[in-house]
Amino acid sequence: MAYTFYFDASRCTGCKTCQTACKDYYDLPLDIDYRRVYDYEGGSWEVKEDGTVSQDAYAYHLSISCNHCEKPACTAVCPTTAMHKDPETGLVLVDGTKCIGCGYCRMACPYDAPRIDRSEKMQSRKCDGCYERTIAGKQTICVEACPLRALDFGPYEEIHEKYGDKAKAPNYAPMPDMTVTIPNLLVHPCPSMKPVDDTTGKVVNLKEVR
Amino acid sequence: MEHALAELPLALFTTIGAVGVGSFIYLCLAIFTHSFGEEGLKRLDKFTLVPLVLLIVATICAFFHLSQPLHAPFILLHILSPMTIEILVFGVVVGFIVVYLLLAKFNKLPAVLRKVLIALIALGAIAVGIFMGLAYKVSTIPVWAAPHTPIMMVGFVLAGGTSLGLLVLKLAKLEPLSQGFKLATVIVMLIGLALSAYGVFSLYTMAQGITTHIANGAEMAAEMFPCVVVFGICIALSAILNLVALFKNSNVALLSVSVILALVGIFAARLVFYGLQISIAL
Ligand code: SF4
Ligand code: SF4
Repeated sequence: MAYTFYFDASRCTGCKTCQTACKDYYDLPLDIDYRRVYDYEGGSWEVKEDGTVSQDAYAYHLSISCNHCEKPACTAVCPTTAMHKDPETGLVLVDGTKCIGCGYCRMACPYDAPRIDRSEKMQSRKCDGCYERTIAGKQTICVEACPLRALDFGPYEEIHEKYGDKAKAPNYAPMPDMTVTIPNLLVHPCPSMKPVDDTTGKVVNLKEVR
Repeated sequence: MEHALAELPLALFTTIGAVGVGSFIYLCLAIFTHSFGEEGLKRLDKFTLVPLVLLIVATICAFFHLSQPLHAPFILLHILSPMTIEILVFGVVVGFIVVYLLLAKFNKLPAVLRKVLIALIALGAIAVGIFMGLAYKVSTIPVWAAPHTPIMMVGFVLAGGTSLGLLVLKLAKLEPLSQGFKLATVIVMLIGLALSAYGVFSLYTMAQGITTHIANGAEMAAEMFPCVVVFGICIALSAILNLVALFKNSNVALLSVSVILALVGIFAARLVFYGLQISIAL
């Protein structure tokens, strides 16, 4: 079984309700967010000979958490096996009874998902796909909170069937090439979304997401 | 710089650990090129506690890196993870040093066994350097996963250990040192200097060429440049003082300054390393 997130970039307005709802539900410390919304912007403008201005500026948002990857970089480096892939659900979870809080999982994850909680739980923390809710047959908090219905979560086959050709492999900036960790994430891109190797844009809200 | 400051305990562990284990390479060279006599060896064993204390300090620094140190035994659960291998190799080498000193203390260390043990410890010191480097073979951070990381750490072990090794010999009043030892020391130290300089240079230039959606390698490298300068000056000055101690005038104060310079230089280089943590994406 593999659960997957679905993100529709053509609907997302970057309002961060998903991020806030998750933070509130799990009562996360100030410096930790399981879900983050990246603002990716780029392009330029040009003044033409006739004095008019043309531009190709763009901006889009990417709401992302842990993607419960099929080839997780975090579990490969975790020295304690605290970071592990649950054989039943395929969700990548942290076993707080083993975690030493070394931070290797955070270093290795190219989605910057795990965070080390040095104020309360003293361990690595990240999205667990709302494990308790999921096994109880409920929907995740972020999906329920999104006012634009830009997020979804469920068994891979179900999500794939539901969105069909709209759901694409997550090979869009600012994410890494999906072959690195094979994330359980499907994306419906907005027209301005750029490929992973794009060099025209950058993340402009780093202070919010780090 | 933000990343470097976040990893201060690790920078201290890898610095003090490298200098501490590195000194045993020079003690090994000394034991293989001299016959110090019973009294001389007693004094040597007494002052060999100095690098052991440094290694204990390094271990304490490593624990400060952990949010949950009481869970540390769980690192044995993933024996092939890069960090587990690093800690195991470091622990085994420190264990050998403790056994070596205990056997010496209880007069149970005949010459042959002493040579075998110190040679194993010296080889272990190089292994510590290699595995301290390989602990950062994280494929999503290419600038760390490159061969220059273990090369640099081996360089720090070889170049950083010189002054501490010579200081232990000086404290134990084991003089005069043979020409063979001096030559071997200079060669090993120069190899260490070359490896560490190559490692830092290669890391720095590779980072300069990386741009991601969130990081500008050239800007990050420029921020770390003062640390590169500190590394270059301190490690070169330490090497010069070691040469003075070997061929001109050796004294405890000079060698102590050299040890401090080596520690400061390698610490600065470690800050550069952690400061240039550039992930492939977020
Ligand atoms: S997104 Fe990161 S933390 Fe989550 S499974 Fe993938 S590699 Fe691990
Ligand atoms: S912080 Fe915890 S989960 Fe992450 S690598 Fe270290 S032990 Fe594993």
